[in-house]
Amino acid sequence: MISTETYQTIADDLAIGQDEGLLIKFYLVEMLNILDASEVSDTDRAKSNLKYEITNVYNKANIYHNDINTDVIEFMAKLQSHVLNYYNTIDDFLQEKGIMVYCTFARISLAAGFPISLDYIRDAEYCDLNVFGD
Amino acid sequence: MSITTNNVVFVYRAGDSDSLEVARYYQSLHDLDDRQLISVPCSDTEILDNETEFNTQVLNPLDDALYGSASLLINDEYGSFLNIWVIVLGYNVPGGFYDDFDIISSTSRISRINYSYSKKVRNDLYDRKVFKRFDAEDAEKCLIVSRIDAPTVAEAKYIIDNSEKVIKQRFVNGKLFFDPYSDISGNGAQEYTQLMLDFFEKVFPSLNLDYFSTVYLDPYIDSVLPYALNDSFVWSWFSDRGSSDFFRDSVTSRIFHYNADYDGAFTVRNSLWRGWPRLALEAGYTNSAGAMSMPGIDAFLNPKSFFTNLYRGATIGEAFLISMPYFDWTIAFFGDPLIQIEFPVTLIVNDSEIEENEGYKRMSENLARSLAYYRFKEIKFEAIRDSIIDSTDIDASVDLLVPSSKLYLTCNESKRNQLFEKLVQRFFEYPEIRFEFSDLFSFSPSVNDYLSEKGYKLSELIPDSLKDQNIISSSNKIPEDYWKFESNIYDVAGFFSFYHFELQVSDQENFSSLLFTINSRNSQSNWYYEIDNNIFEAIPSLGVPSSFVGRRVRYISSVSEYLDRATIHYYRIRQISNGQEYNFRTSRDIIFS
Repeated sequence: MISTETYQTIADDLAIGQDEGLLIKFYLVEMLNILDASEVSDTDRAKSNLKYEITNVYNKANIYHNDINTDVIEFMAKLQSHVLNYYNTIDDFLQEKGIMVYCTFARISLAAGFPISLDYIRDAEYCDLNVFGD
Repeated sequence: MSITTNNVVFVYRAGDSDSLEVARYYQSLHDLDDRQLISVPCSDTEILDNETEFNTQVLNPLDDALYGSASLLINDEYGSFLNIWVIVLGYNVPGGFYDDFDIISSTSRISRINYSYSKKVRNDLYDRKVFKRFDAEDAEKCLIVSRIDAPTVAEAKYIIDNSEKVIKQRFVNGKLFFDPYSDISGNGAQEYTQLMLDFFEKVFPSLNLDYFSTVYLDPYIDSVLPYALNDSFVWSWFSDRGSSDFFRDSVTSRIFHYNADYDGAFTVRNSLWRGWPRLALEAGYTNSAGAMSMPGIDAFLNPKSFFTNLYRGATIGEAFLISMPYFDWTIAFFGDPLIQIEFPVTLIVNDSEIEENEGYKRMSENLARSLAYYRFKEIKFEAIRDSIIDSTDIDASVDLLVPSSKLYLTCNESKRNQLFEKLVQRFFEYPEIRFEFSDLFSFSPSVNDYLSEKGYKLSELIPDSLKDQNIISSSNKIPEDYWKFESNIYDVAGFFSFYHFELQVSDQENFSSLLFTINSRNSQSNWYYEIDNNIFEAIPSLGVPSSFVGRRVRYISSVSEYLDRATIHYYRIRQISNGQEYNFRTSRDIIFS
């Protein structure tokens, strides 16, 4: 079975990677804001081409870099299914191993069909499992 | 909220019917409430013997009237006062007091009525680089104060008549008569001439006014203006005496006259006095300023900040205040401070609009940040895959190796390039299209030409998204692992200060361990401040003056401080002044070089 250390690494890296990955889109929006505030006319070809492409990348990033992305959920399902080969619930495993996970990890786990109790979530008071990072 | 007539009081001399007559005249111009006329029991001496006399006759009674328990300016049942930001000292109210050989002007002293007397204290609002209208926050520091005084009641009322004309007309189209040269030697004199020339080159063209200027002859000859005709402004130095025939009959509104000299404003009540403020007001100028005694060249008014504020829509009182370096000092201001004017071309200044080249530079940084966060995620997903590869448990490897590899493949370098390639192409095309016909450089300049011309550098992450990664020459790329930090400068001291900065960098959000502590007081290397919009200059050893509040400070990492690409770091900076360390402000950023 997966070691506690490996599980913890995966849980942390997945959550942090997902959370920080949201900023890919944030800085694209910042680019758009700068273009909008620019002195250059909105009808200018260079400006509209660039704006179109930033929006295009934003839309694609919106599909691939959010918490309910299929690839991420699929991986989560495999990970938690592996754990359930040895434990009745994910909570049992987390409790026994003394593992705490980030809210984002618990949220993706829930979306994959593997709920995690607030007891095993870091800073649970700030965690809303139904709000997805987008 | 900006100044309105509700923020003004007019001060007259108690028991003096002439003084009251002028006060009523001003009241009627601005439709002031009776409560906005305040009498003080002063003598009609223009310059009082000392500070104590001034306090007894003017400052303390005025302070009581403004803020005392019996004040008529109490606005409501809760005891709050009307917000008085502007004080006009009227006819026969003392214009100053002696302090040894200096004459402290009453307008300068009353500006700091809420503070104890501190001779020649720096004006915290002087030459502030970020424009804003005078507001309640500024009023905590100082008030706008002027004098309307003259040899006779009729002449004092004439000043108000001229104000009325300008208020009604508002539009100004007379010339600037400009004399930036003097026969005064020394660094201070050279600096003041340079300041005036700088104004003439950078600010004056925006006003779209005609002008007459003296020319430089030689260091020993003071070029002088021969006369003023169809003038709206005079800004000159140093010829300190004039005559009434200097001002020829004009059809233009005369707004502001200033001659930088040592005692022009000694009196405005003596009709024989040939100092410039009195002559200018007599000739129809609505406002004037001058020194009552030797101010020092460093105390002369700053034309750049005066006109910049005026054309941005400030009242003339605000423009004067921002252009005056010292309080509790000898410079006096005359006329109606509420005047606002419009220049021949309405200047539309949009502070939120970003200049195109600056915008391109900022977009490049945000594009690089976006790519760096992608790289960050890529590193994390790679670590997930590697942890499974490194796992010694067979079952875990069997169950998770394929899924973790698949997960990594959703966010690897190839996917990143795929996502960003087209955007980067468009980004590089932008200057090529925008500046195709520009004469700055050759026809159809490449992005490389553009970057070289502007001296901009890009993160390597940007061209790396393209198949042809060499499209950007190495000299136009930021070195890998380089970082820079920027922060706004804040008014933390609340009074004029020189600020230094301490920056701490950590890879821990709680700063439990520090990678670097960098203090601009110890060394100014790699520290810069925004001396003009988007233009940075090295921080001087003295620090950054508080007039740069609202502008930015920047630190650029040295090679020994470089940090790994796509790692997130935490920064906190605090301002330091006079040994006082103010609170840290925290931020974070990714290394996007």
